[in-house]
Amino acid sequence: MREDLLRQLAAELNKAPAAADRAPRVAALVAENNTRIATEAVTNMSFDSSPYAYQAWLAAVDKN
Amino acid sequence: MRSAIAGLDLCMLADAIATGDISSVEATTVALERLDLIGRKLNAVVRLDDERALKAAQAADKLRGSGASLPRLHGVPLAHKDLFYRKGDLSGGGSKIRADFRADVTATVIARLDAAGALDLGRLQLAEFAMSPTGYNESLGHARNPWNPDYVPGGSSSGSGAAVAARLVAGSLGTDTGGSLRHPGAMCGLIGLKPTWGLVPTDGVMPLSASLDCTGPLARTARDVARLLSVIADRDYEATLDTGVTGMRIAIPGGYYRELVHPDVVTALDEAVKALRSLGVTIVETSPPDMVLINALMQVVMSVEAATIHRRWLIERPQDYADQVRSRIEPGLFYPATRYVEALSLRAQITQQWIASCIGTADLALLPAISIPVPTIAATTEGDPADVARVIGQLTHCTRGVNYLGLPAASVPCGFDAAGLPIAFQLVGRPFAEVDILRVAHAYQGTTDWHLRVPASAELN
Repeated sequence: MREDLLRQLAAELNKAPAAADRAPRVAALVAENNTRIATEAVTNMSFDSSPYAYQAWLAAVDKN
Repeated sequence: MRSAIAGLDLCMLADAIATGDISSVEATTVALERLDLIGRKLNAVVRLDDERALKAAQAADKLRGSGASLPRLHGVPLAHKDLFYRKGDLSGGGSKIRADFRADVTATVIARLDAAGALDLGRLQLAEFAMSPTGYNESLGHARNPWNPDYVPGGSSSGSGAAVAARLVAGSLGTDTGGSLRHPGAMCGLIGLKPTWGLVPTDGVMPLSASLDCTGPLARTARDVARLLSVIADRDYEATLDTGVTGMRIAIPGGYYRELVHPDVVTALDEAVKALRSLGVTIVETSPPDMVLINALMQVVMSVEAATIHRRWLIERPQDYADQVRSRIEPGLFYPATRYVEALSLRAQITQQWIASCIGTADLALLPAISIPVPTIAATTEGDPADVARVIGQLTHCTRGVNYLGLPAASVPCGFDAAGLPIAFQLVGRPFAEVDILRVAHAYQGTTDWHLRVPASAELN
């Protein structure tokens, strides 16, 4: 991932210029995690998924 | 007499106060003196509320004298991680930035402990903003491990771990977002129980990552943990504690969970498994799924949620974060929103896959709590940053993924390494399997004495 793109994200979208200066040190981590999850989601996440499915599942398995 | 009071575990102390063998004033005085003397040596104490605590102790003794029925923690002195709000009190979260913050609400868990009769003596040290598995706190100083002050106590609930292990208080609340109850539990020789996500209220507790944060107890015995959990979760975890473990099945996942394990830890875990077998537990072997993916999902959820709440201060006061802390938050500024929502959307199915792979047909899984021996403070703060990062990563190898899964888990002490620091195994269960975890831990503690050993810094001899 291009570091200048990350710098822009921090500086312009998040208004955090100091964090933008430190973008290079997190670039590899962000790129790796992003790719890994994006690939998993494209492969295994169903269309009618929800970020709230986990809470619903927990409620369903709580016997108390 | 003072040493005898300090040596009591939570339930013994509660029983002694309830029967009048010890007054709450006596117990509170001993705890306050020890927190002030030993707790400050270990840098485990942030603030003590002596006057208020002693008044509450006097009131507790008066109530007992009246013959009224008493709640289950009546008059028992406790102190908690400095993340738990009490209306009107300072709550700094281990940080420079919130040093002057006064809470305008009281955490539900603190209110539940109040209602159960517990006394609140003050607040204990933690890692800055609860963001370190070692207890690292550059601005307030690192808490020390009671078994050897050159070693980390584990974090982020570092002061809670140190204070309970050194017999300053018999129990303490902490929080766990990536292992912050289990790390100090394992490294100080205690049971640190991370409940199922959502079981224990987290309102009035300074957040780190709302989807991962859990509030839970640290104490010396499974019974003590069961009592504290019963109060803060408002369910009963004591009734089934003594029902035995014969016929239970415990899975031991291999692969990822065995990758980094140090020989001292292997030996202690093998002995623990033998002890569990002797209690009638059947051991089965299982294999974990892709843990690198699970750790990535955890990292995205944690850093995005942390960056969201810290963004204002990352803009206005970036110099007031330790670099080690800031470097864990800032990646959250860079992930697209779609990754975050995907990470949450995948959570239920990935948790079910982990349970199927790691627990299978068993009741619980047994993992190392910490794969390596407890490191020194120097090894986690000095030298090549890559070496420091590697050690810190190893500490959370078996803990951080569990927070993404949201499952209940606890550290259980099972030995000591060559340097004399504690070793622990970790029990992980299906959602709401705290009863099973505590039942196994209680049975194990019934045949072992690791939890009865006292660090020299407790000054009880």
